[in-house]
Amino acid sequence: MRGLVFTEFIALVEEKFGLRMADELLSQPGLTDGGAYTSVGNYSHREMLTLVVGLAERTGLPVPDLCKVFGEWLFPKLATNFDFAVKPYTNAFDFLRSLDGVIHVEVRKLYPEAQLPHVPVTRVDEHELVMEYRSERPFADVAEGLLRGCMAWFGERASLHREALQPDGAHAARFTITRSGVAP
Amino acid sequence: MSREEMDMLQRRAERDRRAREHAERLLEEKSRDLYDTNERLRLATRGRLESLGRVGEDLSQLQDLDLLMSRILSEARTLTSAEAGSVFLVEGPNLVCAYSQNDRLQPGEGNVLTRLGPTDRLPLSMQSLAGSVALSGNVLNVPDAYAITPNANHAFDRRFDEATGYHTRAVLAIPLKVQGGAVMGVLQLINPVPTSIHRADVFDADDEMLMRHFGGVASLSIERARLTRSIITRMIRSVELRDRYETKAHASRVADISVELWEAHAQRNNMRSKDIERGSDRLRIAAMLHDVGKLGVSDVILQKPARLTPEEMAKVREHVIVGARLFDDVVTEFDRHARDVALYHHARWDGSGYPTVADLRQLQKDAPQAAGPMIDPRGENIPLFARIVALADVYDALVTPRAYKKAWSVAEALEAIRAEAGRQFDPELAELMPDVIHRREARIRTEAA
Repeated sequence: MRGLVFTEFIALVEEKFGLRMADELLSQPGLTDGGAYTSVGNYSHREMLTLVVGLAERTGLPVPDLCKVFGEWLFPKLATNFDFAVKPYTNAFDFLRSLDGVIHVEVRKLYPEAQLPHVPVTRVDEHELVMEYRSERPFADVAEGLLRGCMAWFGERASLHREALQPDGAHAARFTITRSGVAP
Repeated sequence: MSREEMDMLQRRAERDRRAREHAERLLEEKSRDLYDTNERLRLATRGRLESLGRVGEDLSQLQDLDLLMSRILSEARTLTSAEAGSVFLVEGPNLVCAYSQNDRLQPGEGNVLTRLGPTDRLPLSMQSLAGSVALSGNVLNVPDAYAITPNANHAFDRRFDEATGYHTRAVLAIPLKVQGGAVMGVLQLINPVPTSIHRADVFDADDEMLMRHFGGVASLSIERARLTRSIITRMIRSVELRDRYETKAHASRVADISVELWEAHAQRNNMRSKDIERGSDRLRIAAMLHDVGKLGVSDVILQKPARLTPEEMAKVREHVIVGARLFDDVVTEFDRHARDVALYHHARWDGSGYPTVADLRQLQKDAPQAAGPMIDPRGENIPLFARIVALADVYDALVTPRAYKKAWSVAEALEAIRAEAGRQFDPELAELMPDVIHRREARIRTEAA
């Protein structure tokens, strides 16, 4: 998993829960180099699970909610860091349609070792887009947050419906995004 | 600030320092990697361009259309690391699949996917990617065939995947155009496999550019091979009109058996696969034309239902000289082989066949080019391809029914060949015949089943 995801997660924790909470999470055992993450590094997704579960335990908030909030927070950071991927698009649906076939292809060129989720758009029209999320990692909640962050980034209002494609719902999900207008 | 807060900030500063050091190391490694990658890509690009030049040269040498199609597909797949691919040719309102290869469904070098199911004949329409390219004349590079939206002006025909369980993802389809610009076919490449050179699993702009050039070279080669085939077909048809026994089917069977015998001989002698392939190409065409000299023999003799007189036999024997003279303006390797086969396919290993040395001397006076180098036609003096065609010609004549005789069984024909090894036929080649014929018979039975 890209180091940027880790550094952004820690930045979110620092902003929302304070430096002490971030310090506690990074002091947990089993983290690479004592939690000294760098955005250009690459780390096991299990460490991210340790951090999220650790945060849930300390705050009493459910893991899925924390993941969704993090996804929403993460999208604008990724869009800024990888602006080449977002700039060509003027609306969220066009961007999402190109995610699997174009953007992830470019990301793989930059990071050949990246293990990206499969996110095909299976149906789209002017008002509605249906996208699947399939991954070896259980981050469908983060994907949901990213989709919300994406709609906000493009200034679009939309409702999001999610259904599980596997019993746990974390590795495979189908999202239906229905446009309802332009965000104020 | 409390002691605890001080400790926490110190831990944070320490983490930041280690993260920075780690990042510097990673960036240094990355920059070394980038340099190496850049260098490797530079060499790879040069290699691919060189390959393109070499392939163009190779393709322009091939005369046989079937072999050419298979080579075009293999070379295009190698250049783009494609797991699968097909060549389609426009036939009336359809696109007909001439060749298809798929490493996943039928692994192995030079494999040919024989059973294509529902997509071996596609209508010329926008309902398939190949059809869209044939109609538009433009290159199509699709990263994910299943992500094509309904409002796109091309569609993916899923029937092949549904019938075979294969998953088509990335598709690069190139139009093959005749010199006037009309589309004669489509070269379709599927699913690039990431390699050290080709790292992505979609076709990129370099692939597109390379394949545009390759498509031009391939189209020219196909046009030329089609022209050669139509000339040969016309020549064979001319013979067919004169001699009711010498049908096109006989010429094709002789060509098939000759090529199989050649391949067995070449493999026994550990020849390089490229030389074997080139030889097969030359031999197939030369073998198809082995009796073309019968154009010069009178109808009265060729169609005589009774036994021929010695004078008439002498006239029939002249067909080898007439055949050789059709190639007396020898300019290519193909002409030379066609001349050798036409001239010497009735020469016998023991020297008792025809043409005789006297015939050759006369030919050399009349048409030196047609005679080629003066030889005593016996043993290994007889060109190899002529020795091969001699065996194939006699075998096919024996197992085929004629008005004046019944068809011999395979065993009887092979026994006759064995008996003539070292007399009529090259003994080494004759020894290979049973294996070649049994393999061929087994294949024919399988195909019929």
